[in-house]
Amino acid sequence: MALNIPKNEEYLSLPDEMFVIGQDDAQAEEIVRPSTTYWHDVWQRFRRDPLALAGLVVLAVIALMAIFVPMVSPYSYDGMDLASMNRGPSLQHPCGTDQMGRDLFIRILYGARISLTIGLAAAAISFVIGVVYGGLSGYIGGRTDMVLMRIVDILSSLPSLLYIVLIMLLLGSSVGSVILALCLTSWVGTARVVRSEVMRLKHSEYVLAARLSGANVRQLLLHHLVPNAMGPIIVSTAFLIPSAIFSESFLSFLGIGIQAPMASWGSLANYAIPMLLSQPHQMFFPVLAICLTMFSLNFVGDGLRDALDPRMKK
Amino acid sequence: MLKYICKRLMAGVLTIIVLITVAFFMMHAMPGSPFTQADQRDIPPEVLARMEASYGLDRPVFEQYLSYWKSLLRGDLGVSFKQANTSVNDIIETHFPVSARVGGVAVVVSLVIGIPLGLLAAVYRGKAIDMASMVFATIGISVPVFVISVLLMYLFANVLQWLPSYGLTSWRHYILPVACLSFSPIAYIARQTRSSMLEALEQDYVRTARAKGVSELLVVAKHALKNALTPVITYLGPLVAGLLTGSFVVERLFSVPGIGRYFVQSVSDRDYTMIMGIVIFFGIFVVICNLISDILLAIVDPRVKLSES
Repeated sequence: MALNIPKNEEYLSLPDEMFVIGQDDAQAEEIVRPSTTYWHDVWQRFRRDPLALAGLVVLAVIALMAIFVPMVSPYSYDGMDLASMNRGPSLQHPCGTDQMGRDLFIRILYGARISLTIGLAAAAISFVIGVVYGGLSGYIGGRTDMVLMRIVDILSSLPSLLYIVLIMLLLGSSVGSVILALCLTSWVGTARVVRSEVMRLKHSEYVLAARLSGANVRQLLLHHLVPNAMGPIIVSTAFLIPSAIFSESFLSFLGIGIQAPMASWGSLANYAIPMLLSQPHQMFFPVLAICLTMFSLNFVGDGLRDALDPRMKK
Repeated sequence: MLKYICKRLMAGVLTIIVLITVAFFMMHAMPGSPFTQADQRDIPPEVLARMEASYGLDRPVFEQYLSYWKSLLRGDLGVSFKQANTSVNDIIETHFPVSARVGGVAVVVSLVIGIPLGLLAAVYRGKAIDMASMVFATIGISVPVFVISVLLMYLFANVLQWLPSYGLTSWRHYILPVACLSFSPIAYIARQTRSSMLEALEQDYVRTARAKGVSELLVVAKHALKNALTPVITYLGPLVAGLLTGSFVVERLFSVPGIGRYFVQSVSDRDYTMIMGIVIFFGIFVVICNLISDILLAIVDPRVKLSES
């Protein structure tokens, strides 16, 4: 009966003369490097992108100037000085003055306040609507999902400018109505992204575990599904900011957006058209502000995309 | 195939019905009647009532909605509130062909420049031409159309005086508007072509073709490009829409007598029937363009139909 079968442990333990080089049992459980979180990792990747970093700095400078310079400046956005009309750039007026003697520098900074507010507000509201709409659509699925997505298809199959013009006519021209008009059309993209992410994640084990422990739909979406889909959602929201600023300046340039005496970059460019030949600086500075901001926002968006999801990098 | 087309067609019709309904009720929710404007405030009430009656504005809203539909189905978009004896159809018939000519040239230019640019960038990846075309693409995507238009106009029409800056009487008048209109589509198409070309060049069938000894030129032109162009086809429908919306700015700046400039003018005039008519016309036009590009895509790429069903 003595079959001489070795006990299991004898297979597992290495003979004394064999050992793994560089492996010490005492160190096996030791953590050599500090563990990083996902967001720390993202920042590490973002930091290595010089364009994105430069964009972030430019945006910060523009935002800080837009907030603080009007507080200390002797000029206001509607203060006319008929004695100094159409002046070129000087020490007194860094960007010159316009047809009514208003300081262009301060008007551009007020324009920055309006443009940045509109961009951020439109993106934030679209983010909320998109997360709720797309999250519910993706989570519930089935017939509800089909109906909700058909509505999105209908909204997105037409150029949003058509809706925006109609809404602007209905509400009148003000900062609030521009934001509302932009929000009503721009949440669609975010909703699509959230929906597809939620559909991808909703059969994961941790979602099942949460459901078994009695989480309701709101908890599932806000605490489990959306946080795990945050990368793509942030990327799509980040690109909403430049597109909102783009649309606002477009509307104001056509004379449908922000109305005088308030200034936005688009309307400043619009006022400068008749003076283009004699006073090119009145066009140059607002246009420079728009281009700088748009470039920075797009670079930051690209950097965020590469940092949040390295697989998407082209 | 037929089933797919029918499905797309039905979605398009539904979109247009929704658009017309939304546009109609929004126009009627506007405060005040279209005749109470700052310049005409002293119209006696009985005259105002008669004017409203002659346009049918005194009837219940839903009745107006039905009668608007009735005339729409006959192809009649209504009469302008602001310009006596001018119908919306007249305006579209005179001004749309102008926009279509400029926009059509711009579509062709965008494709003819954008695709080769993206192709070269992909084939010579990481080289100078790739860098240059990607810098150009970034500019084209970030800079708004009105900025580009103003800069080109200032440079070529005002400073250098090489090209005329307004009107549309000779081929030289087309250069600036077309350049402005096609600037960002070129950038977009180049970027799209580049990334899908890079993807296509890594596929197995390209390796097979190379292994068979097919020349590099044929590999790129025949095997890879054919498959890389599907995203560009998808973009064609929205491109036409983009040129229509971009044309608002360009037509206004260069005084091109097209439908875009007229739309902006009717918006600032608050000419409700005109706005509605042009919005509906744009909507139908865009839906048809999208439909055509969807069908084209289904013909070129059979996988599209399968994933739809």
